[in-house]
Amino acid sequence: MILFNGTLYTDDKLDSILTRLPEHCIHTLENRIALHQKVIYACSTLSEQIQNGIFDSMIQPLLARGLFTKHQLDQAVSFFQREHIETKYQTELGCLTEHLTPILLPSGITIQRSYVPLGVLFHIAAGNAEGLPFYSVIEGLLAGNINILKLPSMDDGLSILLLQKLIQIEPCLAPYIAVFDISSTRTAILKKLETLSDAIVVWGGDEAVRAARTLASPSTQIISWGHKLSFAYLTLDAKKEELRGLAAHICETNQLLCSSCQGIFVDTENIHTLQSVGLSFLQLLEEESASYPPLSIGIRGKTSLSLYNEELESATSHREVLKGKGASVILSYDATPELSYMFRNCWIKPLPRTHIVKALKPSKGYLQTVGLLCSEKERLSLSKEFIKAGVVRITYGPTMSRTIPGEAHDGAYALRRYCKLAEIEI
Amino acid sequence: MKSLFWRRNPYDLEHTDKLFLQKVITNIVFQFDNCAPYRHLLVQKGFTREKLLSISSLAELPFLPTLYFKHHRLISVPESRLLIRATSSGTSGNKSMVGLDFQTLLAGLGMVLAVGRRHRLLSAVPCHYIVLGYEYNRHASMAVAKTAYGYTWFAPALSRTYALAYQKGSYTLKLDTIKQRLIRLSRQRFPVRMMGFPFHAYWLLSQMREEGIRLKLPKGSLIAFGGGWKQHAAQKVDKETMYQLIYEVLGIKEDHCLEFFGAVEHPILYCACSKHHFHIPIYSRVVIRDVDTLEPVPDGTPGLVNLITPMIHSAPLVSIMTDDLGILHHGCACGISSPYLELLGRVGMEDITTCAAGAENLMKTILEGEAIDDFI
Repeated sequence: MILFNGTLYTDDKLDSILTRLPEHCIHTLENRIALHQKVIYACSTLSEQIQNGIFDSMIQPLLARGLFTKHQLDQAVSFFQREHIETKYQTELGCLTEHLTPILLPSGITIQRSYVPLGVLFHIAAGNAEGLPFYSVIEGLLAGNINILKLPSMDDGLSILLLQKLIQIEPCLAPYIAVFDISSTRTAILKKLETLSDAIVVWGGDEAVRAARTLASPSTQIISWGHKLSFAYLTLDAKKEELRGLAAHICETNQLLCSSCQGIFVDTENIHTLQSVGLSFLQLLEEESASYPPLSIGIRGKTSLSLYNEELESATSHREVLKGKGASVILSYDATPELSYMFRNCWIKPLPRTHIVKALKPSKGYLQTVGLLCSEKERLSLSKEFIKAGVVRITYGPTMSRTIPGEAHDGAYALRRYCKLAEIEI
Repeated sequence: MKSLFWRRNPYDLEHTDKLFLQKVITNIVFQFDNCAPYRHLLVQKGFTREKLLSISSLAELPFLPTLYFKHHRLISVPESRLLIRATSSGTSGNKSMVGLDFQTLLAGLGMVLAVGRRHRLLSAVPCHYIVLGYEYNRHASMAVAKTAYGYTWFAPALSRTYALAYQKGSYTLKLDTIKQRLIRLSRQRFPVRMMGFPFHAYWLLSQMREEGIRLKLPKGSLIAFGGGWKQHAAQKVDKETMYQLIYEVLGIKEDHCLEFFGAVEHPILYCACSKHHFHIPIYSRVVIRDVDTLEPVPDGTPGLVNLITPMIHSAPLVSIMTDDLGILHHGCACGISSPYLELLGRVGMEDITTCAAGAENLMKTILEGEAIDDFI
């Protein structure tokens, strides 16, 4: 399926659309209009339509398959409401564009500075989050760009449907959106799309980013939203309720998101303390897990095999597996943040507060959220240690994966990354 | 001791239980003495040979997960005694490497002959082979390439044509050559034997159907699949659709469609019966285990597939745990009395992927470049 200039085409029209695309991009650039008001209006209308159940036939099956929870859906929908998306635009870009009046420099030269769109963005979206390709295009539009989107191969049509609806609400967006459902193996076509673009926006892990770099010519910018790691940090005076909230967060997200807690660093050097934290957290995880939908047999099987293998390796790995019902904790004595087995299985490692920067710095570029569980009086000083190590987001335990409008993403504002500064001497 | 591997009937479990158990014990003792990591496993799990009193106590035998072989290379004989080294096709990351010695291969030959005879694969009538996979060459260690090559010896080969031809160190996809070859072969009198992964056959045949190609391959022609759908599971079609397609395009009837199943870590030849069921041959036993507790479950219940065989002498593969889910059934209308294994698919995340995994898998192919990767 292809979405081009507001119309859906079947894949056999690919060649003819690709032939028309360069001229289409030039024409759209020549006639570029300010988009953000139109995008905000279209998004808020669309989110109302979703709330009113117009897309239920599409969304309900995805909910039933457990691809996301009702809570996560509501969160996503509320994100596109007028006030939210307006806040996002205003925080990230609006506040900058409004105050750009001509400046008289001491040298006597007057310049007019403005933030302008990069031009054409080529989005390569990951298939791991429903609606992510749609979201990526919305950000590109808010910044005023033409957006070419390559759908992930496992896409189930949600993004293309939403973009089509968006264009129906606000037809002037049509020339700014082109969606292609082409395989990653068709490098010649991807290269052609890359040639038209000012930047590639890539979502995914190291391999995906490396692939995008291979694809891009030196003059094409790479804007990557790479894979990140998040974890919790626990001091010994943290409240039990907060630990329970963290356990609930682990069960709700199944540790699948970049902001999901993969494990807990504990402010201790004592092995016995670590073991007792492990046992009590396992109990909380078990209790919380019971109140969330059971995992599929395939996932449980995979977890059991992984834990069995951990036990076999334990003689040399010095890791200790604490198995519970529907959850597990692995005690490990290194201080490296790593991916867990996910699905309610986390690691617990010692990390005395004085070692935070040294231990985490090697993982630079991968650190995202730290759920900080400590006393209020220590909160700020501990936060600063994590920030020095490269962490960009510090939350409470239960709220590690919450989103708020206007919040930076992996330490940056997307809309600013999709723009550049232009200066005119006047 | 009477041989387990040179018997005529490969499905006579009843009369081989005792022999099987003896062979397993001999194998465990050998592995215990010659492979330190395996010895550690048995000690760690508190296993002693007294626990194996009867065939029903086989579930007591500690198992090694296939996952373990991806990080450890275990052998129980000197390296120089390994005649064949095979690696898994590594569809999900790391590869396993298994080495087989003469004793193992000899037992394997007996097995292959018995199973081949039983399923009418052994024939004196020469035929043409079409392999929808890698061309065999000395440098390839992939088990699929070796299995496919082995298959071309069941009947005298007039020719062998490969979809992935080996030229100067790399493979080239030759789908058109295969199509033309099939058309030509349909006009001569010798049977054609085709083999490959089911998704490859499905793609090729669908394409041929779209192009309006309808062939009638000579009498006695066969098509054989092995290896499952792997990363193409999303496109999986049911068996009926597949057989219908094969009949339409190649003129091969359902009873001449064969299915195989095996693994690098468990190189036992499972061949589906006329009802398309994988019966357990005398060379192996299957224990299905609970996905949470890893304890054995009653027949008919889905769980993790634990495969047991005493055939491999050169490595401690006597009891391995696959990452497949399956069910053990009894009572098949085909006439074979041994239970049969229904495979439900790999354990794992189904259609859910993590932040990392999703795009990574999709984009890997860009790095590697060509569409040929899709064909692996």
